[in-house]
Amino acid sequence: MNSWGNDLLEEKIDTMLASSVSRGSEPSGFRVKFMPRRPVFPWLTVVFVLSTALILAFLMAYWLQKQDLTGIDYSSVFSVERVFNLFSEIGSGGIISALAVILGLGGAIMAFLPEKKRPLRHML
Amino acid sequence: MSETTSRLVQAAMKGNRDSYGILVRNYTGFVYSLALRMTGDHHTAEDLCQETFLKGWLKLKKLEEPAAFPGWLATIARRTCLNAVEKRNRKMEIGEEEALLGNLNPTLPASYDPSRVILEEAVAQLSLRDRQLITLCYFQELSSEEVAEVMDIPAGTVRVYLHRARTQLKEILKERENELLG
Repeated sequence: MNSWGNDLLEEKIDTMLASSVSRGSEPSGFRVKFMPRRPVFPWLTVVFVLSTALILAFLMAYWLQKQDLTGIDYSSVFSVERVFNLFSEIGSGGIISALAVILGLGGAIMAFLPEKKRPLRHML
Repeated sequence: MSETTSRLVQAAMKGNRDSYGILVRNYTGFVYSLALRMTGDHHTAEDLCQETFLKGWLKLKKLEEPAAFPGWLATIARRTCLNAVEKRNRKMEIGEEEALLGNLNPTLPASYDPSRVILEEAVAQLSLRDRQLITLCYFQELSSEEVAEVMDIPAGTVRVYLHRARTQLKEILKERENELLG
């Protein structure tokens, strides 16, 4: 924009108006905050959790089929000792069961831990 | 528009956030000043500045010509500010004519030096249309044709209005000439 006169005041107004819209004319300390990145949908976690759940369901069905369901004592079937037995009685089929349980637990933790607890998730 | 800016716009159009970040830094002063002069409140101006750049990022792929970026951004900024002014006027139940011609009592950022405060107070006494014109016309990257396009008025009219606005501004600032030049 050219000056519209030789007057000192006019020149001053011109200079000030031009500098008032130039780079860095915003108030000091003001910065436009750039928008956060769109979070990536955790496809890998979803696949991991679903496949673990499928394996668990399959093993659970297989295991239930082997039980004598007529005279079943639920308190002993679902007891803490029973869960520990899954890990202690690691045989040929037990390894798969134990792995499935560990994978299931890990997957569930990864899926439901909030973003803020990322360091904890990495530790796991 | 410089070649560097043009390259930045092209990269940003392809989704490069860092390039857009540089553009944001380069144009914040202009967008902020336009928003401040249109609304008269620096907190509102900061919010509108944010909004303008966010809209810019979301609509960037629709920009056909990278060289048109300054005018395109100015149009977004102006429309965003006009919407805010209209919304505020509706809340205050002020008539359109009164709102367009009414003077502002601006709240300015504390970091402005005294001569900038004097200038902004003087600009605030102009009409809404003249406040926009003064800001757009002094932005080096816009030609008078581009200003006309942003304002949606003929280029000849821009020159006439600008001349009147500058004369009025000089009249206002004459009373504070000593403060300004001293």
